[in-house]
Amino acid sequence: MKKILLVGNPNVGKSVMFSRLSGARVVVSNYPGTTVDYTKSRMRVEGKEYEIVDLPGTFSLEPKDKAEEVACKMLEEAKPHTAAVIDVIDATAVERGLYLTLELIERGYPVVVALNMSDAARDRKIKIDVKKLERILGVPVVETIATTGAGLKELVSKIGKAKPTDIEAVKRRLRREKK
Amino acid sequence: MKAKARLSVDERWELVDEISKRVVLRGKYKHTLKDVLSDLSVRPATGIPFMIAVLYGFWMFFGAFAGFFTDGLAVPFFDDHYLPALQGAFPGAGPTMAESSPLYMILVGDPNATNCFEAFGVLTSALFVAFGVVLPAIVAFYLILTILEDCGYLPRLATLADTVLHKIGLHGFAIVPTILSLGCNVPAVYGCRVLETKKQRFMMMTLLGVFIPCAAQIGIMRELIPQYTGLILIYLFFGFFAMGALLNKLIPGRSPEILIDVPPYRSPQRSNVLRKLGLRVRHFLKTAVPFVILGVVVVNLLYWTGVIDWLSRVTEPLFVVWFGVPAATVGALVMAFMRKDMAVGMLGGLASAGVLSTGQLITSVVLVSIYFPCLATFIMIWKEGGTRDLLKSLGVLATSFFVFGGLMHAIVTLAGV
Amino acid sequence: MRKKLSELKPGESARIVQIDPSVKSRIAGMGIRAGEKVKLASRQPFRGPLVVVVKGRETSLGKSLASLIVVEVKE
Repeated sequence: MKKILLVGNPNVGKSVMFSRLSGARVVVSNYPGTTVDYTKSRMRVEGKEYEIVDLPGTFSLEPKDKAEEVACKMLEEAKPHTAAVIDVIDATAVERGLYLTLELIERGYPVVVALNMSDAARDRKIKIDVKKLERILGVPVVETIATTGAGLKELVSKIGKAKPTDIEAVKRRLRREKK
Repeated sequence: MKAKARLSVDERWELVDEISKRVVLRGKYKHTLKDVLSDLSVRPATGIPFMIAVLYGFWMFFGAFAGFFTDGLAVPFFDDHYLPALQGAFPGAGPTMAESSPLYMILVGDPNATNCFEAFGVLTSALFVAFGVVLPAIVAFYLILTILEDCGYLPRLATLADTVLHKIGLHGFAIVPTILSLGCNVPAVYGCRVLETKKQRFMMMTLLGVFIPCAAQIGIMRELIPQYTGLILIYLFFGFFAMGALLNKLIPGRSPEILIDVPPYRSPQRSNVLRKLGLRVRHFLKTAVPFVILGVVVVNLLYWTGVIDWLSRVTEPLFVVWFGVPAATVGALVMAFMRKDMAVGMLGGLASAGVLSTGQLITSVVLVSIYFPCLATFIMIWKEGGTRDLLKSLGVLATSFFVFGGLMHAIVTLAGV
Repeated sequence: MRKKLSELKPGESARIVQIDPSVKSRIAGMGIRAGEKVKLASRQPFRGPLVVVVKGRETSLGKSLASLIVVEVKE
């Protein structure tokens, strides 16, 4: 079965998003040889069954601690079976999220970006040009509010459009966009 | 040109900044109440009192919740209805435990027991401990923990606690199992998983097993010597740090420094809290309960084969000379390693009969507190750390028992209590 | 004036100029990197951890880690 991986910084609402997306049977598992736990479940996208895995939160794919190390290892191991990586970004801290997004793109993962907590971003008067970001990154970008479920339908509909791109292409597209 | 070029850290950040310049527009942001709270709760002058208030609230809720379900519901049900029914219905009961059939002994335990904690069978004590004591404790604990986690307080708590805990090689997150073990050490040992290295996990499991009394042990203290409970707790916390500092020097391994994200405060979501709580409790029951049951079987075998009697005969001189307690209490103190409640009864009886002085009673209570709270804790350490860690833990336990028990003997002698 | 991040006073802002290579990639993902503005939000007593603000987000880090980061403070 193909996998959908939830990846993102800690404290970006990843676990809430996981609860919203996953099916009823949620299993907590322990990554072998460590004390790091992760959760997985099933989800249905356009009639096909996928395994959805909530990876431990990480800031980078160059791990700084055990939990991040597990997240990186799981990403690598799942790579051949990965249908999509849902990259959850905190819309109030876009830059930190994008750093991880670029790492995912560099490593060739099929990415969909969820700009989560977009309500909090609005409260903080942060405006994000989603269309432009999508054009630059070359992957789908969807604004979401996991706590209310807003945007999740659209996110799921974009999972099939996740595809790998490469960083040189991102740079080229960036140059075309005005400041 | 390479198709899958990798960027350096600086190149990547430059690219992020370039992208962000084009897509992110930041308006004027007014600070909100949450930001003010965020700042106040981590600044030492205001954060430390706030932390104490939170921990106190945590502890009070824990006591009330666990008290309601354990003492209010589980104890009456197990002791007044379930136990007598089982003792009556199960075949093979004899006049005493030793005269009952082996199956009866293992499954039901003592045919004359009047409560499930003392019966010590798989269907009595093990079920009671697992579902009557541990389950309410971990539901209460995980409920608060999940709320603190979801609202964003946990990283701040860890920051404040790290000041003290990192001095002995632990991590700020070690505050979580520390608080938990004041309630019940079994989930606390499991909670040591939040710690990063094997060294930190071993230290924490051992220290909390040895020096942090669980609710049952604190109950014993309050019953026997209420006026000295506070002082004994302080003495044990002192032991925690003294032994922690020593272990930090002796045990090889890394003690990574704190490096965590401190998110803004958010209102926790009820559905998410409940979902996480359910997952955690289920996961804990699945991994821990079989071990609690195994522990009960082991104690029964030790008791039945006479190992416990033999131990109390062999260790008698040590107790009398080193700890200064009368020979009559040795049985109770050895028994306490396995069965806390019996020790209370026996020590209480000896004290009221005038055999024990107050000083001897204090020393005895300290000794009982230093033991692992119960065999389930012992088994959890074995499960989480393996045989080597368990043996090392037992070494620390024996050393602490000897040193801090002896020291208490010296203190009460000098103080003339 | 240059000093270590660990030597900033609470409330003081600075710009990061240099990070020890041994920790550079470990903290890069959290946005702590050379050229970035940093503010010390609070510090714990007795050589406890520091909370710093980078790009509007707070990070708690140990004192010895913070002493590996050099910052430039505007007079």
